[in-house]
Amino acid sequence: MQKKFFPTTGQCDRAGLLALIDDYLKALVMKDPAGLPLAEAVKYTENTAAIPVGDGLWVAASKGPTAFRIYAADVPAGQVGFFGVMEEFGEPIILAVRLKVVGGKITEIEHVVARRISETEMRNLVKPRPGFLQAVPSSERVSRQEMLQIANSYFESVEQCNGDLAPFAVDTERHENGKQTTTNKPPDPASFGSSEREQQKLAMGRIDALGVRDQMNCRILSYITRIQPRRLLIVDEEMGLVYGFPMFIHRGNVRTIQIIGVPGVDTVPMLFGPFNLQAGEIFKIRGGQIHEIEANGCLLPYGSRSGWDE
Amino acid sequence: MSKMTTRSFLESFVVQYLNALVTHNPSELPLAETVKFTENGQRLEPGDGLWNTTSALGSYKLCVADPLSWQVGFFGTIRESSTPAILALRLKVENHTIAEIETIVARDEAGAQRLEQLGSPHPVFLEAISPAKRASREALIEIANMYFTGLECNDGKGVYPFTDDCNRLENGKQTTNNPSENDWPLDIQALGCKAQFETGFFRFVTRIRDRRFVVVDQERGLVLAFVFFDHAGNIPTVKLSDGSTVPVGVTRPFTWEIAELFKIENSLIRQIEAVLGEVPYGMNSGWSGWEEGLSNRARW
Repeated sequence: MQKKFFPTTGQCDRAGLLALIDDYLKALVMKDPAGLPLAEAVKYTENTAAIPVGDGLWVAASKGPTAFRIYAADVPAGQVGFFGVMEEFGEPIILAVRLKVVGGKITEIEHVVARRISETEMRNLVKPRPGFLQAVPSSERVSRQEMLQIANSYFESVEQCNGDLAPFAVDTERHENGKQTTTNKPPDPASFGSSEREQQKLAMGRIDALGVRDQMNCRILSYITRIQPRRLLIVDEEMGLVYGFPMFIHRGNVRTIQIIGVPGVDTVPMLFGPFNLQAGEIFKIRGGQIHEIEANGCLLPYGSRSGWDE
Repeated sequence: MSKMTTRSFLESFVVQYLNALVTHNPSELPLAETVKFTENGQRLEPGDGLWNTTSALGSYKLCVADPLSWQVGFFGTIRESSTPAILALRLKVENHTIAEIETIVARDEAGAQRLEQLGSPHPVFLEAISPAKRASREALIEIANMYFTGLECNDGKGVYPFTDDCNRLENGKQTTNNPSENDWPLDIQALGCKAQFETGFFRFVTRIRDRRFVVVDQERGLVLAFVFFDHAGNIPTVKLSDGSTVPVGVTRPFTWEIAELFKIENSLIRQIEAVLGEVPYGMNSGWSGWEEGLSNRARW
């Protein structure tokens, strides 16, 4: 690759960061990092494993991003993120990428890759929800620090099963690996059979129909032991985005979830063993409230570190 | 202390460990002050991970003891919140305390059930090699490592030291001499170990790395290794030694974390048993530096 993708000196402005990550994605699909301004000691992780640049998705990427692209640029932190859909050996993946840039050189590369995306999930992954593409009017922006506090309060809300701990908007909607997990259309009980499995699907349908606040309060996420580290690393004040790479830790000791306040649902079985989940998670914050949440995640052995912890 | 006594002594630590796991109480164990514990490659505190969820022991048990390095390995079944699972365990004993605990938990219910249906391990894993025919530690490791070298980027042309009756069990499933019901272009599982390697089929295993030969039992001719099989994912089809091309269905980067036990007789591999689980591509074992973890060099 002859093209020099990025100036190797000077401060990275917003346009420069956004151009860099697009160049990064192009290089990824060409399977050729040679044209990128990589720092000598660049560190690269994919789903938390530290591997050489050129390995992992650098071998597998087969087609560049579709129209589903979310960007977040953080000039003060020298970090830029991408969240989108592309292809690996012809199969769709959801890729969360973070680049850290120091003195014009890429010093950190982090990938979270979600694979085996179903056709149903792909329906929500055609293009980003409008909120992720619209800048926040000055009158509705909050400070960088406040944005971080708001995103962090989401994790507090999950850990404590308390929907009042975070400023959720009335229309907050969360998508995880493409699946809409809140504010869905309420299920019709008549369309479910009487088997235990069908009734469990109906119960989850009722829970997925709740808004985020009510869903937190019903304790469905009580199987999540901790979210640590939370690594809220990219703050894009112009777009109102906070992009984090949180580690969800599940000890596996909650085997039956006691549901509160959902008519017709008393308990939900939770049969997973101990496991971790590394996520890439973006919060859209406008007027001091969380409106959209878009996340991907990959399952990991329990106790996995992010690869970036001290 | 005779070797047999040492074997019993080492195996008694496995028994203690498993019993403490079920009662969720690591304080029952003689743990070294500096004990190190990993589960599926992650460093945890004793008491965490499987210690929270083990509800009972299963019926399948296989021990391998190394009286020279004071290490002991175990493959067996457990119940995790009543669901069958497979546990591979390695303990290192120092000064009558447990200094290292390495575990792989394969959450493979069907695999655990298959092992229990077998009833007991293959008898060769428990049979002693006659003293005159016992191989050195280095020779045993060399043979076991030939398995990984032959499999990595398998081209069908290597030296494959198997007995004719060698079989391999992976999470309780016999993956050799066991015709499948699938309509695959090549029923690799129907072939014996040596014939499998000679096809060149396993080329899609792009790297076998972090090869740690940790437990060697000269008396029984056993070698237990912990390794990773990386699949870069870029070899969706394989051209076999006979010139034909078959799909292999590996189209994403992924890694198996594996504990693999070899029975070696007369410099040939007689029986193989493995416990494995999928982990992120390129993951480290928790027992190796970064470069060691990505290297395909044998270590012991």
